[in-house]
Amino acid sequence: MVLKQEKQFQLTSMYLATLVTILLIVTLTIGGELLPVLKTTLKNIFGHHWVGKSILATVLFLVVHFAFREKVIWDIKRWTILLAIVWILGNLAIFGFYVLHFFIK
Amino acid sequence: VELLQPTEIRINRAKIISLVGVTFFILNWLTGGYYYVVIYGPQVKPIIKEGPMPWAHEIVMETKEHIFLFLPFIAVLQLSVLRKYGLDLIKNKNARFSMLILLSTLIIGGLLMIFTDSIISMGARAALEILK
Repeated sequence: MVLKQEKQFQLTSMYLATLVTILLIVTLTIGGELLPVLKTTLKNIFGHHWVGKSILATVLFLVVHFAFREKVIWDIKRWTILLAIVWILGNLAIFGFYVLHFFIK
Repeated sequence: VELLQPTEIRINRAKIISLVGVTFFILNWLTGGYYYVVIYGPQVKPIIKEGPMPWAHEIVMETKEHIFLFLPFIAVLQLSVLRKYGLDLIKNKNARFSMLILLSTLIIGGLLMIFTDSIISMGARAALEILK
């Protein structure tokens, strides 16, 4: 059973938005530790680096979702598998980074 | 569980539960964020770092505060998939598979939050024992 194209567009853009948002959070998290200026900039603009990451992630999610609403289309199962892999790797990347950071610094 | 063998009633119930779930993820984000920024950072973090388990903050809390941010977005996505597919979930195996994977990530993510919370609390309690 195939969904109406409009619904597929909306879901695909939401998958894409979630995927890109996870990548942004991982990048800002690890980048912020490796480049203190990035963490300081987030703190200066938003009051706290974590608040900055939260706001930027939300903005990116909305922008990507609305920008790609009628542009991409793909099978939902593939999107889900890709998203699950990125989610697992994102968790491992952040955890692995902080383990290394703790023992190496 | 509702979506392992979906029916119209189960799907409608799952939609309500998912909406409640998303609402609580967002409330958790706001209240947990407030606690983290206003109370944990200035008051609890320095105590843990001085205690016998500094890694409870430097590894566990640092990881937790960031991987938490994935969850509200996945919760919104899961609710959207559920609402868009609706009754099609009964016949569409791919959509049902996707729902179960998305829900699994949310459940595992939620359990990770509880597990890491326990470790951070242990770190704070161990530090307070020494400071007594």
